[in-house]
Amino acid sequence: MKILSWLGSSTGVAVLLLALTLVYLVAALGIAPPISNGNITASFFPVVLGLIMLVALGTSVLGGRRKTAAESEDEPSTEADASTSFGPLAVVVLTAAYIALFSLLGYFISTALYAFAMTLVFSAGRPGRQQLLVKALIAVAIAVLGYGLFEWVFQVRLPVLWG
Amino acid sequence: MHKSIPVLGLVALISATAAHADYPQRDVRMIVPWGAGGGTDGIVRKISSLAEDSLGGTIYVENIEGGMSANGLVQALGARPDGYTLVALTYDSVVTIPWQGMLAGYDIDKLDLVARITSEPDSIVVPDGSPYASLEELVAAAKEAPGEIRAGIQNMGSRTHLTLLQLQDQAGVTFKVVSYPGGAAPQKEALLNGEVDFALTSLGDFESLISSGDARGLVEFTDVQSESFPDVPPAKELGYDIQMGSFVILAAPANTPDEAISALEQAYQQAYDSEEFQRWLVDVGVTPNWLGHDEVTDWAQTTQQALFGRMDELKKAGLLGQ
Amino acid sequence: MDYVAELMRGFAVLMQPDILPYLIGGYLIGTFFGAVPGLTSMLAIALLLPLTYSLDITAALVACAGIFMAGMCSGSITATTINIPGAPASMMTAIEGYPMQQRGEGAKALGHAALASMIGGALGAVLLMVVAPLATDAALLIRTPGKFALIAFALIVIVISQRGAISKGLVATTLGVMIATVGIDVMQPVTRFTFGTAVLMQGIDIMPLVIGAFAISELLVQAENKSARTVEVADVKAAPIRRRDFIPPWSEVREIGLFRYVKCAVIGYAVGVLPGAGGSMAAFVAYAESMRSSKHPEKYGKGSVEGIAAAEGANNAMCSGAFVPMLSFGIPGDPTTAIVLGVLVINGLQPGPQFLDSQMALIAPMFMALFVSALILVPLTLYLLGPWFVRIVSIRRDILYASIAVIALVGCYVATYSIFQMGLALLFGLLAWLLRRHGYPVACLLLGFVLGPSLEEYCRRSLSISDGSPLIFLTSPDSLFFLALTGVFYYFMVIRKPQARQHA
Repeated sequence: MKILSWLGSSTGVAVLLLALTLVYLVAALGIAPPISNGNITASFFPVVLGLIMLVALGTSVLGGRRKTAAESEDEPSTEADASTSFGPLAVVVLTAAYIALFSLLGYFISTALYAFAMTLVFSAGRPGRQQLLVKALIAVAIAVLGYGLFEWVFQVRLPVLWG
Repeated sequence: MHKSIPVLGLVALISATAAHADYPQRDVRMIVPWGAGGGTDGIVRKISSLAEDSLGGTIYVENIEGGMSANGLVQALGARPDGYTLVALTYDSVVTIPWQGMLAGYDIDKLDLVARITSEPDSIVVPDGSPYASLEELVAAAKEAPGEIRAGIQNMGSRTHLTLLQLQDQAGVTFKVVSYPGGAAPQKEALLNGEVDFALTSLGDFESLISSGDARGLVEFTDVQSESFPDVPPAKELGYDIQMGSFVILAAPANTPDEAISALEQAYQQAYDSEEFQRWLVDVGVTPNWLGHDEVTDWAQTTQQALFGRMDELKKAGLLGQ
Repeated sequence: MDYVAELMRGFAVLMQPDILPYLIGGYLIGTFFGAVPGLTSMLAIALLLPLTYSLDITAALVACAGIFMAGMCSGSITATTINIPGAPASMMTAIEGYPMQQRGEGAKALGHAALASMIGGALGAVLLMVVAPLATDAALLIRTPGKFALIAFALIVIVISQRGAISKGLVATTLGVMIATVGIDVMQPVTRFTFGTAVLMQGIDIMPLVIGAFAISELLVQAENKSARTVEVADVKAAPIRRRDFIPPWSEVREIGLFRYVKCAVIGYAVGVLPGAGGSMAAFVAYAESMRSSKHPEKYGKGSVEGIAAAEGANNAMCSGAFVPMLSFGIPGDPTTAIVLGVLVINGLQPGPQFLDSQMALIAPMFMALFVSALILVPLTLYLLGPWFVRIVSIRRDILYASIAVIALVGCYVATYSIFQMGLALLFGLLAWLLRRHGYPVACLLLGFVLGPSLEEYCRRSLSISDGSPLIFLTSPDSLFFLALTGVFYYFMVIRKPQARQHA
């Protein structure tokens, strides 16, 4: 959890972007030399982009430092929010599971399950048994409507369980 | 899942004897590896909608774009070989992708080719106001000013690029190569706004500009005279041995039951022969060129090998990058 | 005179009972697809492509026109009400509309958006009918170096318009361009940044980026604060929305000014005429120009009706502009017109220089359909359905966000038929959420992604024409013009900005 909340901090994002940029730059230089025979190659543009990114990240981090130093912002409070709320984490995990199961279970089962789980994430408090039933019905309704829209109206083939 | 494969084989065996027993029982999926609304998409959709009648089933088109058709190929290779998945192949799927080794483990022998529908020779097109009235004049001008005359091709390393390299090689000239990825539309724009001196693609792509008098064809890279464009001589007549062009081939994953292949071939051949399809091809300026299941594999392999040879030579000479 | 008569005949055809339903049906489909995150009007036309065999060509074209026009303005509905632009072209509207919604002025924001769409769309259609040949000739004046400078102009201006966060804007824009370079190189068959995987070779589709950056990141934001929304819902219920709330107050319309409406329509039309730009660029360039010339630039980003009017007017005018090069040369101006070109080709028609003369009878109803859908259907839809649009926010949160999640992800699948691209949508959602939390503008990310490939292609082609000399950008008049324009914007938005602040 500590790592997650650090990743969510402004330094974490800057470091993440920096790491991505460095990987990108190394990969870019691996494609081809940026200029060969006086012509620019497939790697020229990415190398320039990577360099621009480094400069931009540098100035934005420095600018951010200066600002926090000057105003001593209330940044910590927003970070505290992130670590206390499990909502976003639940959305990410559920969505990842949905995508992984989408073609395996077929559209219908996976979508109904996903929609049900999402209605749980987006509800205040702990739902009672009757509410769970309502939510299950809602989830099936969402799956049916989506199916109707794509399969019937637009004749798109969605994955099925025994496809 | 595992059981179904031998069962399918059995079904194929039985139904091969009882011709056209039960195919198709489901809808047939046709993968077009290029965008909706493009040239290949139009041809495949048109003929598929006509083939539905003779096949007695539905054929639905899915546009799976990207990766110079590799994306659609991946889907086709992963599909079950049951006759319910087809894919439309173009030049890039047959030549560029295997040659560059862009898709690991892929070659055209991973597919059963059903038929070739169209093939379209490349050509040289100049704007109407161009000083060059013939290919000879263009070549002569290029000899005077090497690397000055601008040639508009599609992607670098693509079919049109290879055509141009062969012309340069045989004529002993060099042009300035300007690349317009993304089909013939940007080439048209460049020809009209004077950014290039000539464009290299099929005459059909420029049909509307040629018929309106805004552009002229100088040569077609084939050995027979085009009937739709009687003013444009074939390259062979001008002393060049270059045969290059685009084509559309329909294919299924390898090991698709013969029964399904022959049913599909028959359905598409009927659609191809229909008056409606032939008239449509004339309207949009595409050349029909049918090659059935028996011959198309040989043709594709010979074409592929010949082009690989050319490309290797050009690469060795340092003319073709990568 | 023949031409006018032909247009009138086109109007008569359009009003026939066997054609008009296609316009209205198309318009409704376009509204739905434009408004729902994860579905775009382009997808609607692509999915309806098989239908065009059975349809009469006039009916098919009229339906396409309706979908296109509706899709460009209905994105503002979800952009304003729930901060998820239904279509990329509405991203600037989200920036201005959502703050208004939070102030309880959502209906007024939608009213301004619809009014601007109506004016922009109708003016664009008139320009299409009147000056199409002229516009085509003008578009041919801009060659590759000029296009490079134009794209660079748009990207530089979006960075400098992020007041107070210019370096973060630059980070987000560059990141967008970087993401777009993954896959096969724009010029030659070389793979880049695929790390040896076949899935990355297919490149990154725009759908996962749009869905991730707007729909999924908003889901994550909403999953975080559970209580905030319910309070707001209570507010909305307490003050029922009346139809007259949608009518923008005359004083504000006067303040926006007729000149601004016309200017934005012309900008949108011109961006449409240039092949390869599209709706989001039209909306953004008009927005930036409006901000530059505004008397109250400080209101931008906090709910400026001027900003909404500029963006929405321009993207609807773009619709008509994009038809110009498609009809006169068969060169589509944006992805949607590329599919409409396919509709023509499937029906055996090849657009070219003589197409407008020879096939006017066929095309006139479509021209009129663009005009009618902008002038009549845009305001009518808002009048009839507006109260429901605003009520989106009073739908139970669990139903609303579960449906958005499902449709956005399934829409991504339908657009690409790829599970991998669905996964990318989640990844970009997470990334965009992190960026948003720390003040990196996500609109920059998207514009960078959309325009990046063109920027690279035009840059490399220009340099191959000039044998590698960058002087070509200074010696070509078209490119020089856009570079000078960039300088003008830089002057007004960065150098002169401190003075403006003193006045305020």
